[in-house]
Amino acid sequence: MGKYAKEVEIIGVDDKVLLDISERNLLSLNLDEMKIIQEYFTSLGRNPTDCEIETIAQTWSEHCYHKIFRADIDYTEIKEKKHMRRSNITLLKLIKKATDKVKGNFCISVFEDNAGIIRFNRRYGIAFKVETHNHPSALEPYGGAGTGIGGVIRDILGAGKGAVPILNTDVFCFGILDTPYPELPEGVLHPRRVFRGVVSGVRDYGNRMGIPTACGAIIFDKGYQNNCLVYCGTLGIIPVDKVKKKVVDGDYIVVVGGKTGRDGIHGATFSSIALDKDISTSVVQIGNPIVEKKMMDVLIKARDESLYSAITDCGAGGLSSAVGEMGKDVGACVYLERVPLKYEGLAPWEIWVSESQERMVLAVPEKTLERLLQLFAEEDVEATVIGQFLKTGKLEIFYNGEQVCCLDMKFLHRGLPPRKLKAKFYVDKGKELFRKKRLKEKDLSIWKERILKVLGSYNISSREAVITQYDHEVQARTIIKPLIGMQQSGPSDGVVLKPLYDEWKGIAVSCGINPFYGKIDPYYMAGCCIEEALRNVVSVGADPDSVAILDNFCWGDINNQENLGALTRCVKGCYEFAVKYKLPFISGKDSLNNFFIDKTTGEKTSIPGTLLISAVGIVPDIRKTVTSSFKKEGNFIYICGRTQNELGGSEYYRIYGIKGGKVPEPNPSKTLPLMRKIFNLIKTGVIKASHDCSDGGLIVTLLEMAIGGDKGGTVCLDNVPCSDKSIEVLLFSESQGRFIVEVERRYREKFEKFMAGSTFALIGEIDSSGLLDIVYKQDKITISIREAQDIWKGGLKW
Amino acid sequence: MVKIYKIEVCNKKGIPDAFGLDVMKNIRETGIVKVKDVTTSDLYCFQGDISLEDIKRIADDVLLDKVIQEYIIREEDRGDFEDKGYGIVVDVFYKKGVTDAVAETVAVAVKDAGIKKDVKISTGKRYYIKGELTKKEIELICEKVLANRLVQDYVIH
Repeated sequence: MGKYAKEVEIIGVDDKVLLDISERNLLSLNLDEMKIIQEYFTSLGRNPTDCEIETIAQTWSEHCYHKIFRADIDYTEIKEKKHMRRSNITLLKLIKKATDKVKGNFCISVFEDNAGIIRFNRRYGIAFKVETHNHPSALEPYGGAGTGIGGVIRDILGAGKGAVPILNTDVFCFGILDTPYPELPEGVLHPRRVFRGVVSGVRDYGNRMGIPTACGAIIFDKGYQNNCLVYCGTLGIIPVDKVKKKVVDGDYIVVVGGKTGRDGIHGATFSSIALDKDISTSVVQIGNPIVEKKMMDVLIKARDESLYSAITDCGAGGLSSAVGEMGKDVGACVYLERVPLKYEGLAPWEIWVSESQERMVLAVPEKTLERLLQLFAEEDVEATVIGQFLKTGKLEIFYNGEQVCCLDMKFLHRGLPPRKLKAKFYVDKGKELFRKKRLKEKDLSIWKERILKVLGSYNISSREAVITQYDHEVQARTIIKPLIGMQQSGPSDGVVLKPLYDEWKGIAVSCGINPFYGKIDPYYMAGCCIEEALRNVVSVGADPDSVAILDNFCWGDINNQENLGALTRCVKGCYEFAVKYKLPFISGKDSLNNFFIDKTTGEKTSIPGTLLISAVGIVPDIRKTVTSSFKKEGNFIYICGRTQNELGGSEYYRIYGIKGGKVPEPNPSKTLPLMRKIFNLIKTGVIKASHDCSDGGLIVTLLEMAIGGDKGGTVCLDNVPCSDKSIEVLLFSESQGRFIVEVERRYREKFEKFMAGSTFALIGEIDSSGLLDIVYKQDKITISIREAQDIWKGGLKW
Repeated sequence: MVKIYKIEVCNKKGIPDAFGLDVMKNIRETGIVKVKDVTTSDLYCFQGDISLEDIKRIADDVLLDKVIQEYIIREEDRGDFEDKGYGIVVDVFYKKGVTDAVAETVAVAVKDAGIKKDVKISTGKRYYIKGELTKKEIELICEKVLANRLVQDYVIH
């Protein structure tokens, strides 16, 4: 064949050779897929080039094509070993079905763009997207996490015709920080190193971009030791008339921003390869936020001058993905020798699929091209015409005059039939309770010790050491910050932003994540994550009827039928609860096959199936929001919602090694009306402080409120509405649908009247003693707030 | 004529090295508690047809924080370093082909400073480690704390 492209012989070869081609070139295509490619090229009567094979592999990669979420799944639920329920499910369809049922006209753009977009007011929309960058972060934590946040910022810049990023979110899952070194398998970085590297990466990239990082969560579990999870999110604001974009026949393809090198080639397929010292460096990207910041500023200028008709980011799959996606309904012609390179010596296919950072692709009409290039030159940002979108229906790529790729867009984007998969889930597995007998309740001092142990645990303790490294003030939009109270010591349920300088309307952002429930039942994990995300934003003052959510799934080895079954059950939960809470999914992403193979033992370990739900809600007036800290002595403490014996997967059970149990089961028909009441009572100033009651249970919630306000109080556990009045359940059950609120003394009657019909109870009163007295059956536990604060803040050290 | 220069920038005597202290903490966490002190400096390697005067200007005007830092310029082929009496010196550099964002920014800054020469720039970090350590322990420190072999190489002097 030609001088620059190599021919890949696939016509007439047998199955073994096909698989060998896929493996040798790190294509991650299975035999069925290779056969489809073989068939296509046989019909054309020629072999593909390396560039063509790479393009197909990239377009059909799990990362870009979502083969599992598009697959037809034959799903069986097994109960008590006999009761079977079979159904055919397509995960993506199920998620979209939920949105179709509830979206209304509040959603402007869902599941079609780089990010979901909801309506903020008449002039503006809010774009929100959360991505994962797990494999790169496990290998090179600093670079991996930095490029993770850099990538999702570009997603927002490429949403519609470009949104302005105003907030970053970060959610991480790590292994246990004090894991002894000898316990780590070869090739795995220590969790503490991963933790420090990832936080530093997000910090340095986000701070240098001038975007506040103000919302997140960190989970620690042994299951993440070999595969950490790094979720990075960005939220942006976009004029509604800039949401629509369309590539027009004849538009020029312009690549802007960074130069192209060998960074991140085959990043998507790299995940399943064990590390060794000779591994190619080309799979890890290192970010350069200064380049991206410059690009961001000039792009927004170009957007406002209407200089381009469409834009998308260059992320996984590089130019191949970006140009391919933009041109899929038209056709594209690209001249690769024009792409600005970092250094010489790249093969055409390498230029085409390189995942070098800080690049975006624009479709620019001829009449504005000159002005666009001039603008980018003025701002010293690279912008190069590399080809043209042409109505040919083909993807044609040239290098120095030689055609190195010619594929039908239709084959590339619609040529892959859905996979057929089998999945099963054992409903009862994991629910059986394993524990030694219950502790005697007489001696309350035991319980004090237990409370403080839970409070100082890795998963409950203050995230101050991480939060304070991020700039959460830049752009001056952050109203409720991640740390609240007089001393900035209390935790916030969510962040509240004021996107526009001339309007009091705001947005609240938060997240829900709890892989521990998922180990017992992923269905209720989905429900709890959705509810927690919603509860968090309502707790700071968002309207529960104007909230949208994002789903991000991270799962283990998906070829295992039980893992796939758990994922399917989780998606079913997402559907059910999203519909019941009337929450549309506006965007989402899945990262599958997060597992690790130990080279020496051959053992395969998957991460716990993890769902992150991120919520964004409208706050009608940011002056009418509340934080979680106790405000004033003499005010009443109420609990809203019912407590149940739902200790399965709770922080308390896990610390004390108790497995199984019943996980919290959300009750939307009771909780949604309750949330509407809370929202109204916050708006009218009756509620002075509100904190959602979740991880760690009632006692952790109360202590966090007391720490934030630097106040004490008396709380009577006997008053808590609960069917099981054992102290263990009252203190530590993580039942959903609960809020702890502070009500001003004079509003008692008003509050109780308004709450009629919902479960609530007066449980205590705030005082200035600096002590929290917990009364239980005529006995009491007294905890010094200062002591609690030291323990809570000392749990997670940098 | 193509020349190679290495500029080493470090804190002046008496100015605490916060990064070094952090590194020491990380080393101790691996179980190697015999480490007594760690100080660090930034390395900038320039390769190209460039004069010593230009290199001095780059060091003074681009790289140095004059209040707290000082620098030493060396010609690379000698490969020497200042013996601070620490015994162990480790250099960490990015591997070829890995994006070196600091070097890219230095290149822009050098141009902005009016030095229009075509030079290749790479950056790295130098660690001075005090403590009686075995060779194996030093290698462990390099692997577990100082460098990620996936993107970086290290040299123990």
